[in-house]
Amino acid sequence: MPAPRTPGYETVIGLEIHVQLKTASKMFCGCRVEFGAPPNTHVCPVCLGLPGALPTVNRQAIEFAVLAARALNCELHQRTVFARKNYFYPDLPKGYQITQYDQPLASGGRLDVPSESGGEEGRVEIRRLHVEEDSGKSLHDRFPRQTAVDLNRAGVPLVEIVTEPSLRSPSEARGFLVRLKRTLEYLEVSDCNMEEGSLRVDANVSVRPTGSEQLLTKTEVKNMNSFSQLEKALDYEAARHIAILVSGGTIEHQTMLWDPARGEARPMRGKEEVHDYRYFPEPDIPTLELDQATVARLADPLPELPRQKLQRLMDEYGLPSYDAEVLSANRDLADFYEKVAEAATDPKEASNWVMGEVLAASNDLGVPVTELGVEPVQLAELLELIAAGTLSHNLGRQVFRRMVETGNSAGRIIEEEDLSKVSDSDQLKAWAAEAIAENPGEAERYRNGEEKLLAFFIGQVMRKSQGRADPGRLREVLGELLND
Amino acid sequence: MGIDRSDVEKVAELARLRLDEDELDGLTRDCQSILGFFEAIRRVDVESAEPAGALDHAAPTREDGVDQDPLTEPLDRMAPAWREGYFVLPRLPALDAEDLGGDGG
Amino acid sequence: MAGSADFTVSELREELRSRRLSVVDLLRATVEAIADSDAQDPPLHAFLSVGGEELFELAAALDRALDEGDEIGPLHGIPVAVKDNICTHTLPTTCGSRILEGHVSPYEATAIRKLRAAGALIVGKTNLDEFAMGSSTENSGFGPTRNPLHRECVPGGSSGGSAAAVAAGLVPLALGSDTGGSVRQPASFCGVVGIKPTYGRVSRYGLVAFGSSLDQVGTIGRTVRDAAAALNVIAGVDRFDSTSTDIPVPDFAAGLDSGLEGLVVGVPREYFPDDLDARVAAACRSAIERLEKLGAEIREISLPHTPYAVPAYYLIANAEASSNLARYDGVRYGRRSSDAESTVAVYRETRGSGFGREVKRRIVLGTYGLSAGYYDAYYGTGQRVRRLIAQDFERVFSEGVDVVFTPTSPCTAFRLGERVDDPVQMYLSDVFTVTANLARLPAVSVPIGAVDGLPVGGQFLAGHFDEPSMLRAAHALQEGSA
Repeated sequence: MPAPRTPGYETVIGLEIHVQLKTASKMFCGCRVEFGAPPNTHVCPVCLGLPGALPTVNRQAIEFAVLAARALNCELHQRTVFARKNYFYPDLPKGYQITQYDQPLASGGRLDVPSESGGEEGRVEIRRLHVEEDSGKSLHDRFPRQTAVDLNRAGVPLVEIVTEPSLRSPSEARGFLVRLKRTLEYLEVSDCNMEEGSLRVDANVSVRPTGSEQLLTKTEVKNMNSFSQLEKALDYEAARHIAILVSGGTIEHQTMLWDPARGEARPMRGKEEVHDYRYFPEPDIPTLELDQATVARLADPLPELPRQKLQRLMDEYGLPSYDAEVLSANRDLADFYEKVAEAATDPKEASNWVMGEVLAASNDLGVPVTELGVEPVQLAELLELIAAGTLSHNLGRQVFRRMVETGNSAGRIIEEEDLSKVSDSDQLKAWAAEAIAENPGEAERYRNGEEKLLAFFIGQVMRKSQGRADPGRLREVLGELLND
Repeated sequence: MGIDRSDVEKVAELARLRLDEDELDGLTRDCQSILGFFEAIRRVDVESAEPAGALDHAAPTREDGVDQDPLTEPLDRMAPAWREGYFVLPRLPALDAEDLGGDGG
Repeated sequence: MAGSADFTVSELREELRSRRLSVVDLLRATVEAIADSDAQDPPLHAFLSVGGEELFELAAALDRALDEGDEIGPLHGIPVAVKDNICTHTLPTTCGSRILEGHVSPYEATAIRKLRAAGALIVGKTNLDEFAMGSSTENSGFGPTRNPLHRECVPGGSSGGSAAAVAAGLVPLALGSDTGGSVRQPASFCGVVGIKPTYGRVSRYGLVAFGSSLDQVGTIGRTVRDAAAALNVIAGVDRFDSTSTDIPVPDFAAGLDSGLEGLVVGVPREYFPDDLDARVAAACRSAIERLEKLGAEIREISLPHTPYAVPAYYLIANAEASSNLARYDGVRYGRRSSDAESTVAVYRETRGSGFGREVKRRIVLGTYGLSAGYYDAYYGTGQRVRRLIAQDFERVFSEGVDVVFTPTSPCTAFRLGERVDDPVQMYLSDVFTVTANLARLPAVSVPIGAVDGLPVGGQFLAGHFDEPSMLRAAHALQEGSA
C-alpha cells in the first residue's frame, strides 16, 4: 500500500537501470549468453580474466545500444571510450569492470511518460547511456560458509541508463520504467526480464520541502525485483526520509536493500567502505568510432516505438485510448491486432476480441499471442462469421477456444462439430416449449407483466441448445409461446 | 605532493595487499623517494598537450557469433578451490547472504 | 655441440633440411646445454621450465616431415625459448611470480601459435623479473639469472632469461616482452640483438599484461637477421587483440643488405648527457663513425622532452599495472593463501604473500596515482608528457630523419645486488629505452662494442611500422663490426 503523502514534502527519484542486451555472445568475447546454463560452462580466457587475455568488442551490442540511445532521444557521441572501473569482488574476474566513464556512448536524452493524474505527460530526462560488461554471480547460500562463483554471466553486454533526478513520485518512477521497458522491447534489444535479471533497477531517493530546488541527502535502494516491489520500496524509503526529517533527524547517505518479504528496506551492512574506483581509459580497446552512416543505417528510421504505435492505433483504427494503450503494451500484441483489424470489417470489434479472448487465452496458456496457434486472419474469419450472424457471440467464443486447442479454422470447427447457430423455428419452438413447461411459475409471472423474465427463458433455451440458438429468432419464438 | 605511511596503508588496502609493519615502513620510504624523483615531471608545460591514449586506429568490432577460444585445461585443475562446478572461497560468516549483493554491474 | 652454439637460424635450417642434423639431436643438445648451464656454479638459471618427453615426440614428428621433404615453416625444428610471461599450454606460465607458481595456461598466446605453425619447438620458459617489472632479472620470485658473459653480473631485465639463453648459445632465438626496454636492455647487457616492434605489430593476446599501452612481444637473436626472421613469424594483426594493427607485414629480413646509402640517422643530444659513462659514449661515437662510413648521413637532433620520459613512463606503467594485476586474487587460478578465512582475507593474504617487493611497490604507486584527487597530477600528467614525447619523434621523422641512434643503456651490465636497494637508480637504467614504448615506436638494440669484457648496445628507433629501416641500419652496423 502506498505510504500516504505527507503534505509539504516532495520526493526526488533518480534511476539507474541495467539492461542486458539480447546478443548471442558476450560483450568482449565469443562465449554464449544463456540464462540458467550449468555454472562456469560459458567461459573462456577473456571472461575468466586469465593472464594475457584481451577484450574484443561485440558489434551487435554497440548497435543495440545505439538503437536504445536514439529511441531515448540521446545525443550519440562519435568517439567513445571504454574505461576500467577498479574494485575487488569474487565475481569480477579481472578486478575491474570494462565500462564507460567520461566519454559514454550517449548522453542527454528524454522519455515522455504519462502523468499520474492522467493529465499532461511528464518528461524524464536521461543523463547518459553507456555500454558495459556484466559481472558474474556470487552465490552466498549455495554452500555453508562459502561463496560460490559462477562466471557464465561475466561479460554479458549491458547498457546502463541513468536518469536525472527528475522523477517526483514512486508511481511516476514505475510509469517511466513501464515505458522504458516497452520501448526497449519494441526495439528488440533486450528481453527486459526482471526475474532473470535482464532488467535491473537501482534508485536514488531523497525528499525535500515542496517547492524547494535543493537536493537533500539521498539513499540508494537496491534489490527490487519487480516494478510493483520497486514502487513499494520507494514509497517506503520516501516515507522513512520524511519521518526522519519531521522528527528533526538527518538522513544518512547509505545503501538500502529492499526486503520484499518483510516489505522494508534495511541498510546494507558490511561493505560500506569508501569506494575509489580509479577509473582510467581501457588501454586494451582503442577509441570506438561511430560514423554517421552507421548510425543512419541502424536507426534511421527507428522502428515504430510504443508511443507512435499508440497514436496510430487511435488515428488509423479509431480505437479509444484505453484500447490503444492495452494493445500497444507489446509489439507482438499490437502487430497481431493490426493483422486482425486489417482482415476484418470492424476494428473496434477486433480490439474487443484481442484484448478479451486472445489475451485471456495467452495468459491461461502462458504463451505469447504469436504462439497461440491462431493466425490473425483466422480470427478475422471468425469475426466475420459472427458479424454475418452465422455464429452468436457466445458460440464464437467457444469456437475460438476450439481454434486455440486444435489449430483448425473457424469454418472447419463449425462444420465438424455441428456448432452453427440454430435458427430453425421448429427446433427453437420445441426447446422453448420445454423450458416453459419446466418453469410454470416464471411463465405465470411473465404473463402477469414481469417482462424481464424473458431473459430467463432465453437463458434456459440457450443452455438446452448449448449456445447454438439464434438469440434473435429465439426471442420471437419465446414471445409468441409465452403470450399464447 | 608527499606520500606518508597512512597513505601507503590506505592504498595497500584499496589494492588488497597485506603488508607487515616493516614492509610498510620500507614501502613508504621507497614511495617517497620515487615520487620525489617523479616530481621533475612538474617542470613540463603540459597545458597544451592532450593526454596520449587513443591509438591511430579505431576499435575493430567483431560479429556477434558464438566463437569461444577453447580451454585446453579443465577449470577444476586450474582453480585453487572448486566445488560442484563453482569456484569457491570462504566468506565472512558474520555477513548475511543478502548483504553481499554484487556491485550492480 | 652446446645447444645451437654459434649457428645462425638460417645455418641451422640448412643443417636440418640437408638432414646432416636431426631435430631430435638438436633438441637433445639444447636440453643438455640448458642442464649444463644450470649445473655450473653459480648457475646461469636462464630457464624456469624446460620441455620433456612430449617435446621429443614433437621433434621426432618434425624429423619425419623433413625426411619426406616437407618443411612446415621457416622455423621448422628450431628451438625457441619463451619468456615466462607469454602463455603456453605445454609448460607453466608463472611470470616469475610465486602467485602463479605452477599455473599452466589453458590457452596459448597468438605469438606462440604462430611459432608452432612455423615449426618452432618451444623448448622452455625463461626467467624474468616478476611480471616483467625490473631491469636485472633479480626480481624473479624464483631466483636471479646471471649474465653468461660474466656470472657476477646481471643479464639485464626483465627478459634476462631470454637474452642470457641466446647469449649463452643455448638457443638461437627467444621471445621476450618489452614494456620499457625489457627486450633491448638485456640484449644490450648480454651482447645479442633485441627487437621491440611497433606497438600493434605483434598481437599481445596471451602476453601477460604489465603496462597494456606499452607492452609488446619482442624477439632476441644473435644476429639482426635471426631476430628479424622471428619477427616475421609472429607479426601481424590478430582478431583477439584490438590494439594490433591491420597493416601489411613486410619481409623484415629481405632488405637488410641494401646498405645505408642515403639513410638519415638522427643522433639526439639528450641521449648523450655529460654524465653518460664515457666508455659507453665512446662506443657510440665509434658506431656513429662506422655508420657514416657505410654511407649514412648523420644529423644531430633534439628530442627535448626526453628528461621527463622516465617519470612519465613509470606513472603510466604503474597505473596500468595496478589494474592489470588485480586479477591475481587466488579465486580462479594461481596460488591462494590457504589459511585465509574470509573473502577479503583471501585477497589480502594471497596478494600480500604472493607478490614480491618490487611488484607491491609498483601496485602501491600505481594505485595511488589513479586514486581520487591524484589522477590528474600523476596518471593524467604522465599521459600528457607521453604525447609531448611522441610529438618530439614525429617532428624529427617529418624533417627527414629515417632512424634515430642512441645508446641502449647508460651503462653496461652491473653486478648482482648493486642496485636492488635503490629503485630510482634502477629505474634510471631505462632512461633511453622507455621513449620507444611511450611513443609506440619500433626499436632494436644491437651490439656495438665492449667495455671490460661487457657488451655495449646501440639502439635504433624508427617511425611507426618502419621496422625495415631500423633493422637495415642495425644489420649494417653488426656486419660492419664483425
